[in-house]
Amino acid sequence: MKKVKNNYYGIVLIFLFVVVSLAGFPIHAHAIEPEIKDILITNDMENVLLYARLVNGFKPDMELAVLAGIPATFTMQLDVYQERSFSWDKKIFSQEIKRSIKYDNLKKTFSVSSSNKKEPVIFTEFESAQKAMADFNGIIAAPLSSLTKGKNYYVMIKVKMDKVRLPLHMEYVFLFVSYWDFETSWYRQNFSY
Amino acid sequence: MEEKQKISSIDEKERRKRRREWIIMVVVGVLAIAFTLIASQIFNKDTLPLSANIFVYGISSINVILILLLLFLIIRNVVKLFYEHRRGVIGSKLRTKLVATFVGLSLVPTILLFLFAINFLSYGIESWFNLKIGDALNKSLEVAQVYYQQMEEQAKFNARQMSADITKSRLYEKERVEYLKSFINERQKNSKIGMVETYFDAQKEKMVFADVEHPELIPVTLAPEMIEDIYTGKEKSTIQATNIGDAVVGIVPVFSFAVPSEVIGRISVTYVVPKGFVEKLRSIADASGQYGRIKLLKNPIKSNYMITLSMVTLVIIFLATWFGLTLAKEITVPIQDLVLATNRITQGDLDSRINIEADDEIGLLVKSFNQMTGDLKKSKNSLEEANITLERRRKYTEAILRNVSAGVVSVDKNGMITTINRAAEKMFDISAEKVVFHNYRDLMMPEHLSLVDEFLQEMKESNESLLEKQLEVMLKDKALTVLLTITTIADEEGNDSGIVVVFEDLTQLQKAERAAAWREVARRMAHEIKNPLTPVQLSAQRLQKKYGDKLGEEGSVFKECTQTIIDQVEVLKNLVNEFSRYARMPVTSVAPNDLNMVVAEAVSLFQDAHKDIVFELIQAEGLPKFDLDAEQINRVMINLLDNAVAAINKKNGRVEIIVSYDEQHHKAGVTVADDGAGVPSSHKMKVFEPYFSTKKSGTGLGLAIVSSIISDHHGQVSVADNTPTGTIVSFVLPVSSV
Repeated sequence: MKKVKNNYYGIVLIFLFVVVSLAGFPIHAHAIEPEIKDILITNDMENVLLYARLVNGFKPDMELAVLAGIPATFTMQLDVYQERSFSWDKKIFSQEIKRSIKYDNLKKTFSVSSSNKKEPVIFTEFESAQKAMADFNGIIAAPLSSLTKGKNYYVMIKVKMDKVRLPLHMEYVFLFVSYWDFETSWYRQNFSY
Repeated sequence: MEEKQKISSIDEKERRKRRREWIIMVVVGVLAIAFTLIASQIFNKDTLPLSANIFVYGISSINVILILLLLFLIIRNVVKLFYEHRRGVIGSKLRTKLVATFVGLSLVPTILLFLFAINFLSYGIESWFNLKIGDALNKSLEVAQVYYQQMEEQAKFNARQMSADITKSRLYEKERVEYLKSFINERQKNSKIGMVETYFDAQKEKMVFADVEHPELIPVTLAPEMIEDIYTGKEKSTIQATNIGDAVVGIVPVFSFAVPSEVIGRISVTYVVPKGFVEKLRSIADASGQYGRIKLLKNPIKSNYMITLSMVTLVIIFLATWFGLTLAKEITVPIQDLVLATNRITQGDLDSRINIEADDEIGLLVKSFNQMTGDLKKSKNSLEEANITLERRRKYTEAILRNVSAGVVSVDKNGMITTINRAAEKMFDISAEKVVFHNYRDLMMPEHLSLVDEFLQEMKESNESLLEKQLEVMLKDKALTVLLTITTIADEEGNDSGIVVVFEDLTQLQKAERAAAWREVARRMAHEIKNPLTPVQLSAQRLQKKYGDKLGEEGSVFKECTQTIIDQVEVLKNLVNEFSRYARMPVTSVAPNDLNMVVAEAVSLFQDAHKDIVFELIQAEGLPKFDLDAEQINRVMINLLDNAVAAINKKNGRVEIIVSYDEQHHKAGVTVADDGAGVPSSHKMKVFEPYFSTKKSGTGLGLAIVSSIISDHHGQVSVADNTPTGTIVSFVLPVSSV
């Protein structure tokens, strides 16, 4: 009897494992993950500037969605920390930069707007628009005035794609299949002042 | 009792488990419905804050988990049912049939409905994305796009035209500004060109020539990249939204007259698409865009609907399976209990009851079963009581039969011996196992069988149910006098059921009677004869004394005759004395004596007296002393040895004397075997009677005395033939513990 019980409990567990695995499978459908590359910290007279590039941010089905007129928004989370030896590192600056791309099917133009710029930039080519979305150039990480000379600092950045607003709130229905949204891991870049 | 407790605890466990499962099912169902309702309410909101996103996500996840839990419970039960079916557990086959029927009944329509719904849905969704609709929308969009394109081309064309004229006429030079202005104004007037902007490196300032029709139009700011491209010689166009509509701008480079490849400025022409028209175009674009977006979601929507339908179908199937299992359990559990209870009853446990309460036919069946079991128990108890009483009576009857001194044999109407008691076994020296359920005709000796047939015939003729006969039979060299009583047995209806034969052994009684009679005769004879003997003897002695010497030579005859009278009287006196001794046997006085020694004493006397005869004595080992009259036993041995010696009528005869001891039965035996003439069978019955002798000079009282002495010692004496010749006389004495 005990052996029989173990047998069918085993079968049930195997079944559940298969179901859960299959349910979780589509989540990991993306073969290539987005990454942040070419991170560079520099400065001008007043500010610490960040340069970075998001690669593999646009997947083919996401491109189709954008071309269908669905706006896509990247959000870069940028935090500047001061390294401290004897306690937790201090966060001295934090900001979010939102960048959106929207296709105008009438004018056949791509409008890339950024939260840190007033006017959106219009592109006629999708590639140029993607490049504009992916390249984070000259982002003000922190004002120099907030830094202390001789201290070590580091920048933590992460880019995620906001939840796509699908028609009929379909984004809530396709819970187990996230077609487009992604989130990179945190990237760290040290610098000293 | 232990098994009953075990069974009831298993029932309780099973009940608790079922209750638990039922509760889980209900909770799952309620939670799933509740969460779905909440989620659908939230879906109706237009804007969703982050917390709501998480909440909705959480609810959906919980929904799926709950469905998985339901799935788990169902699968677990189905697998359990499968294994039970394989093991052949009682009730599993019926349960499988019920579940299979339920599932089948629900599966077929559900799957049909599912397929129909899927197809209908697919068809419906496909019809939304009708090629014609899509085509119309796309073409409308194309028209709008072409309009803009044409506007752009028109703008670029006009700008190109003006650029070429400006280059040709070198109107880009500072000195020719006025000419430039009038050229552009004229062109605007003639060609209905919209707003014109110029920028030349030489002038270093932008000149804007407002659109006559749209004077409020503000010049468009060009992106640095665009300006860069223009200076590489490219023509560019852009469309920008303004307060009065969309400004379609075509920008072309202006080349130097001197160096045709050198770009020395740019000129842009702007046409305005009125706001109203823009809105119309926008609506076309939006409609097309929406269609495109929804079309993008066509397959995901279809998949989503399919998943939803599949889940609903699965839930229906699972629910059907669940109901099937529940219903099957409700039916098979009582049946299982019934079967188990039946098994227990067959094994003798009539206290088992089924504790199932139901108000349907199953409940009725259970009630009837319990009642039947109760009735069975009552019947069994009364049967047992009756059996006990019967058994008691039978044992009592058997005890009576066993202990009665008469032998009782019952024979059924077919001649089969049905019972034989111990007395009969002992009497005939047979074992009950060997005779019971055998036909008496196969067991009896021919001469006895003929007697029985005679008696039965006599009973039949006389029509009596009882026959009493006294007869003397020889059984294995043993002479028996038995009183035979045959009684016929009839059943309640008077049908012949067989006979009962009672054997009363009168042998010893007869012997005792004969011995007593002979004793009486001997006593009387001795007395009657002895009385005149003495006077005769005295008279003869007196005559001899008085006249013996006086007769001279003729006195010898006188003396001889008187002497003969005296001698014969003496003989008569001896005979009378012997008889008298027999008639008045001395009282047996027992004392612990060694039988071996007593026998050895007697044998040694004869060994000395008869040297030509071999006397072989084998004594018993381990024979203890026991109560016996040594003198009387000695007399017995003398009589037996005397007879043996007398029987051996040849030289080199042999007499074997064996003393034996049966410790188990507490009996000591002595056997005297000779190889003499032997005793004929017909005489064997009489040898122990007084005055029976085959010896020429025997009184015939020797074996009678032996029989009397042995009888006084509560023993038995018997005579049998020796092989090849001779006689064996044996006696057995009880060995009482000293």
